[in-house]
Amino acid sequence: MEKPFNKILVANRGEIAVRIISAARELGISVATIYSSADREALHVKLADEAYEIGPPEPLKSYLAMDKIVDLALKIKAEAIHPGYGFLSENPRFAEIVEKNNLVFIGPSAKTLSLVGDKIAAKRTAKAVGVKGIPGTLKPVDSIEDGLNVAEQIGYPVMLKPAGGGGGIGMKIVRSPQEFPSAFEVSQREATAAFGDPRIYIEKCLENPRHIEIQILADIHGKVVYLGERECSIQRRHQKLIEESPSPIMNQELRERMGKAAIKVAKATKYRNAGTVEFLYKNGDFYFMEVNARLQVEHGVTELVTGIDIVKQQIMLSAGQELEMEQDDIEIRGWAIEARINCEDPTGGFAPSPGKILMYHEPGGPGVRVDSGVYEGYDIPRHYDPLISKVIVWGLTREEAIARMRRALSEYIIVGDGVKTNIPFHMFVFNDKEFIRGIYDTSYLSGKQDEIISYLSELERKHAFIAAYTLYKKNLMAVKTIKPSIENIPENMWWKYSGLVSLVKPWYKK
Amino acid sequence: MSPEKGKRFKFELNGTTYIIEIKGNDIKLLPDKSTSKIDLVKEFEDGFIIKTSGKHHNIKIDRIIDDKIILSIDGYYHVAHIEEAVLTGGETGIDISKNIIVAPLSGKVTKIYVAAGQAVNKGERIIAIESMKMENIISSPKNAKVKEIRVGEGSTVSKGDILVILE
Repeated sequence: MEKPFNKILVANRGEIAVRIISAARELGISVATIYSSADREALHVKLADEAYEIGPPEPLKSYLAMDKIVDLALKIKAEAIHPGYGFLSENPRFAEIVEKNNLVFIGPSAKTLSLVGDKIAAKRTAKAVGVKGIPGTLKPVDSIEDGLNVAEQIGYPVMLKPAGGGGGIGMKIVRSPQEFPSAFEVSQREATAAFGDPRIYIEKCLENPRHIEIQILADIHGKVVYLGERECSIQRRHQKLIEESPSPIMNQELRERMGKAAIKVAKATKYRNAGTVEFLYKNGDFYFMEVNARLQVEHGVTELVTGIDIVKQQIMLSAGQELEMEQDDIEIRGWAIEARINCEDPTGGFAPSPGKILMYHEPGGPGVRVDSGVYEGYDIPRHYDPLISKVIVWGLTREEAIARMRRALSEYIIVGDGVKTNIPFHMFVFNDKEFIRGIYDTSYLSGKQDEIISYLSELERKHAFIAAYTLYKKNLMAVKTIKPSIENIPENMWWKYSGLVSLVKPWYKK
Repeated sequence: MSPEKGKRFKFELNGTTYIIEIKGNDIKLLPDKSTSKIDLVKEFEDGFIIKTSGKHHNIKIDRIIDDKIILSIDGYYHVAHIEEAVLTGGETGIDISKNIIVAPLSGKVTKIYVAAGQAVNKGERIIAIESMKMENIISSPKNAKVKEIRVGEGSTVSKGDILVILE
């Protein structure tokens, strides 16, 4: 098969940029990438064939600088741009500029991006093809009075949602008419600030649903297939943390119904390339929520259970190649689970904790895949997402996948200067009975969080004791002054350090 | 004789700072009142097996990078960093001044480079102590004269012992 392009430009960073480079390499395509000045030592820069500094650390001046990126692509004769996820991946204006410059945007068309980016328009489109959305309005609410009427009709509790964007921003749960007016005002303010669009629509608030999404692929001829589902209910503040495929509550009949619904929505929005249709599931019913018109963070679990490389498919489909597979060819085999590894401090309010990685060892072995953007010696910059890597496991059964994840997490070493990760947090979940039984919904983490954090705090304290004892016993307490220069030590402190000017390190020295 | 005071250390583990007080095998995490007792079950060159609160733990020191120590406790890896060693005055029983050179660790005196009455410059070698196949050479903190040498070559010393007095 002819290779789709000679050269593509990856307009992203971190683990996803590395992922796209891998896919391009396998297709024999040369790959260029961009980086901000904070990312000079980033892994994606080291792995790309060509790398170009695009601006200062602030995303607006670098990873979001549309014109700079397109100009660069033209200059280096890249034929296509892969936007990754986040950043410009769902920006219709960017897709338009790319298309206007006769470059290929690896994703859906600008028109589709506009349509599905407007959450109300997307819902209308779904409804028009018979795909039921969450009960609610299909037009924005005009006023508080209008809103109160609508909410009354739908029945409390209701969810106020901005039409202009997602990610949990501006979303408010309202449980009674008394709460409505102020919630509405706040929601509008937040929506305007984040999306420049004050439109709010109202949906029934489904209590503790499960979040199940369907991966789709579509070619330029309008042929669409679905690649099974992903269960993404383990979320913290609407941010996904653990995803799995298949979903523990899925059966073949439900999968077909949801898959067909996803295809209908894709066709109605003239979808091309890879995308995800998100649903909320409760008590046997599923409701259309929105379309994610991009490659998703959690795409790897689908790749492991279907054997299909979604990023390679994206590249080939965007070059105009036809979708070769038929729906019947797509099989779900085994079980895959992903744990997102963030550099954050769970016992410190999940504050981001970037820093220099002093020791790094990735797990491997059977059924373990790690998509990482970091390495030993790398200084994690503070300007971006705390997601540093993903551990994705596969097993023949869900039990095996969970056992593999426990093993992989226990073998994953990430230690650094002030760097903390959520690996111990994940360990707790993968040992938790409820998770192991597959009985959970989107309320799982908010219910467990306190328990997990108090467990982790106890563990930290215990380890602090033990570490202190160890250092003291091995006479390492004074290691600080191993550096021989006496000048470093202030005069009035000298009496403390008088014995420690030069130390010859034995086996510790590597 | 004042009651035995613990040694206090301020150290950082994975970015969190702790103040620890150690007295023999008892460790206290200040400002808590409770103490933990740690029993050494087995010692290796690069770590131990210890028992505390009824549980065994396996500790290994992996490496030292500058002033950071990477160690693992039951397979969990940590980075420790010493902020300062706060030696309480009660330990040596003497008013500590910068003229007194104490043993930074327990070991054996292998070499004494100076004699009483000798003038030394800042940075010149005074004494060497060997411990765990590791040699510590202590140099003079300032331009001074050696007033008194309290140990001899071959002496076994404990951490905190006075070795040499300057003036």
